[in-house]
Amino acid sequence: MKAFLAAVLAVIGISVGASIVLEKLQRSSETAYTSPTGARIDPHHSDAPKS
Amino acid sequence: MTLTTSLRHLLPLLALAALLAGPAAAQQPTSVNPTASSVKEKQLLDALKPGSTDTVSGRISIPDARAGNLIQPAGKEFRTFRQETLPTVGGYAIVGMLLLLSLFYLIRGRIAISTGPSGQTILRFGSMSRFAHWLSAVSFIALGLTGLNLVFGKTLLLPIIGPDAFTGLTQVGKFVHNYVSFAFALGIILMFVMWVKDNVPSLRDLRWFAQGGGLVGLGHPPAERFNGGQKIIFWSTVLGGAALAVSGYLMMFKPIEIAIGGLQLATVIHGLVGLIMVAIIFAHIYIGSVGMEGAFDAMGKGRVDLNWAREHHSLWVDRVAKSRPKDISGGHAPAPGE
Repeated sequence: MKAFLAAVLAVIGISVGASIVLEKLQRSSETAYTSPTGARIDPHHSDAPKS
Repeated sequence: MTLTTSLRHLLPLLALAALLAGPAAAQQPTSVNPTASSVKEKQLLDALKPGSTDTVSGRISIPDARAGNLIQPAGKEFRTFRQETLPTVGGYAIVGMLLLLSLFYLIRGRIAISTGPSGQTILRFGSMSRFAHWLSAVSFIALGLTGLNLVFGKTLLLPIIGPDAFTGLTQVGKFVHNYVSFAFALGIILMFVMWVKDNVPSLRDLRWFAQGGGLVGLGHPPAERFNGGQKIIFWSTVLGGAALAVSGYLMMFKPIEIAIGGLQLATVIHGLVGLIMVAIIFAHIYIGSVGMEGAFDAMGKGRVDLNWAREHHSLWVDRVAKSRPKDISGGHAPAPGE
């Protein structure tokens, strides 16, 4: 069952790694709402994309 | 004329000017109507009527412009699907599969090695193959449990553990679902690369199915390394996994400019394929463990009993005996019927 244990460790390792990378990549919603650079007011873009 | 006298004459004139200018100033600026572009109440009510296809959108100040949709009629259909159709279809698929497997076990019992264990073993899967399998399996269990919670948790779990615990569990589960997905995707890619050459469909698979695959009736039809049933599991996993990964990462990263309807479609595909895969994997787990004697050894130890291999993969055993006799314990090639 070494392969199984190695896989469990790999799942944990990959998941922790993914969480760290994604944490750095994505902007939090707090930033989007409160930071002056997070809010984007574009007067030339008046409508959200329609489906 | 003194300054006082001058002001006395000027004040009535200023008052008259102010009276004339007042209404005009109140109407300024005449070119801007602050409510002209806003949504009218009738438009809102029309958009809410059944059958309406009008989307009511506005301007927002957060980065994701999709959040500017106030009313999206197609969203009502999506909500119905998400809250009613998906749990119903998924429930039938999963419970139906469990009932079917239970019934099969009651009728057929555990499929034994008909000639009994030989004592000799043959290498079925190397360590890298088993690692890829367990990488996918372990991550799929985590993804399955957290995904099932999103579909059934509100109905089944919330009444038992209460809103606080359910909220915390679901929030953690959402992050686990996102992060573990990368391990699952890697496992699927590894399995595809290693096993695709042995999983190309052939006419032999049709004959295998026609003879019941050894699951129904007596005898075992000849099969290569993977039989018809295993090929179905392989392609279901690879194609289903790809569909889950593409739709999931589309929702997670939004790599392309996609309208909210596209994201809803991705959610529909993700939910349906995920639930169908859970049902299929139940069958895979059953036949690989309690349903068949000797089957679990393939992924547990990597080596299976030679008689088991002969019964289920006779053509593969013949090939290995000729090309890699050292993979058979004892190192000698087995004679047919040995």
